[in-house]
Amino acid sequence: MRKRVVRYFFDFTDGQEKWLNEMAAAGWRLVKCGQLTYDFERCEPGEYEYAVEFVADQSYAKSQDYKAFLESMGYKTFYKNINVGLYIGKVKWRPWGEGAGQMTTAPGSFQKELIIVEKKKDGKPFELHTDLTDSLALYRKTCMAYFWYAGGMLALALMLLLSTVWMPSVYSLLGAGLCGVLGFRWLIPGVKTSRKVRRLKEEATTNEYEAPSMKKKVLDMIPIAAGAIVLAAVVYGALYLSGAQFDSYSARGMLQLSWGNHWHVSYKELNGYKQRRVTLDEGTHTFTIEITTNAGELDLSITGEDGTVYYQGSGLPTSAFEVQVDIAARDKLTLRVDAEGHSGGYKIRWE
Amino acid sequence: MRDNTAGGALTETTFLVLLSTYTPNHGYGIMQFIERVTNGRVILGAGTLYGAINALLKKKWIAPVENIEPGSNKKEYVITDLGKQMAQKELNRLSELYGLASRIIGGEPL
Repeated sequence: MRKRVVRYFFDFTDGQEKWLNEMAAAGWRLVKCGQLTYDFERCEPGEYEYAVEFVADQSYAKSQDYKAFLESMGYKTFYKNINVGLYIGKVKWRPWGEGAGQMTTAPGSFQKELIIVEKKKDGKPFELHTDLTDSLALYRKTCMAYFWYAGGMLALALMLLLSTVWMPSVYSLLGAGLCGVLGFRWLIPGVKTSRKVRRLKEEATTNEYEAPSMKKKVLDMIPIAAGAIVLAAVVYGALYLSGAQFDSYSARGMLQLSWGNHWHVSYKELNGYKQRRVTLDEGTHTFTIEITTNAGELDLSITGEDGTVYYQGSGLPTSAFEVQVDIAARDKLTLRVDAEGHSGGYKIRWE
Repeated sequence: MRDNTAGGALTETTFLVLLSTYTPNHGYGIMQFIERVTNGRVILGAGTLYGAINALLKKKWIAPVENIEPGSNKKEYVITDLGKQMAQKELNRLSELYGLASRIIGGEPL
């Protein structure tokens, strides 16, 4: 008798291991695992036991060698994924990948981040790592993996959340919420694993233990740094693409500095329109505007959410001026710049 | 499994794996050997053993044995001359420590 169970574990080491052992205790032996599925067949209750280990820090060749070694020790092994990816032909894309190298094609270490090890119970404890140094190294890398997944997701959530400030969108908010929840789901096992690392470290002060060398520490940082760069590029790309719907322009040599209540843009040439959304409370607000026009046309408008035009200027020359805006009730204003072959820039600040 | 930098001591895992390869031995054999000679006090996890074997191979304290039996997927390892020197050094260190501890714990004045 076989059965298929659909499950995903955020707690991919300990949580998954515990569940597999519970299944084995209930008389279900793992025979196959897919991205989100586990196939079991009947066995004697308690006949097998399982261990799950994170191996994605190693190259594929190394993890294969390790897998073969475990097999030669008489264990049965399975590769298991952490990432749930989308398939486009032979090229696989994982939405929250760790590095460009792993976004390539199958076969490879893609979606083989974990090894599940099965042992026939013989009364002896089943531990893959029994040495203090070794266990510490394992928990360290596992901990790092959890924090990396959690950190990536939380960073994405933050980026999406921040993007709604000047590009309000329900989808961004929903996305941010989803990423936030996923991030926290990985943060929990991460914290648990970091406690284990701390406990083992305390033990290491009296027992035999070798601290990892500086070189190893530096080498360990490389994939994280690479991952961070890729993530930043992906986020920037996503923001850029979604921003393109809000703005529509082509520019040459553009430099944009946009923060808080400042919007500074300069360029060699700008065609099209750019917008920025600003939420202001009731009262009188002052917009301080500086325009530099070397050539071409630049129009600027400030409008309220209901279409109230607070300011409109066309063909602005090089100038510096202030615009007073009276707002009756909290309003979402749109600052819009239309340019035609405009060379120069603008600086807008509001209070 | 680097040397303990302070005293040049080997970890127990390292030393036991070295001892188990005085005659060519494969992974599973090493695990069984260590369990047997320590009367079950030390049972190495497969992951730890894998790490230890690779570290020793890298240091050239053990070497892989060319497979005599064709078709066998079990790699065998044997201690090298360098490995034997390191084992001798460790034995000397342990003897010294053993003597010292015996005298002090036995109540003998230094």
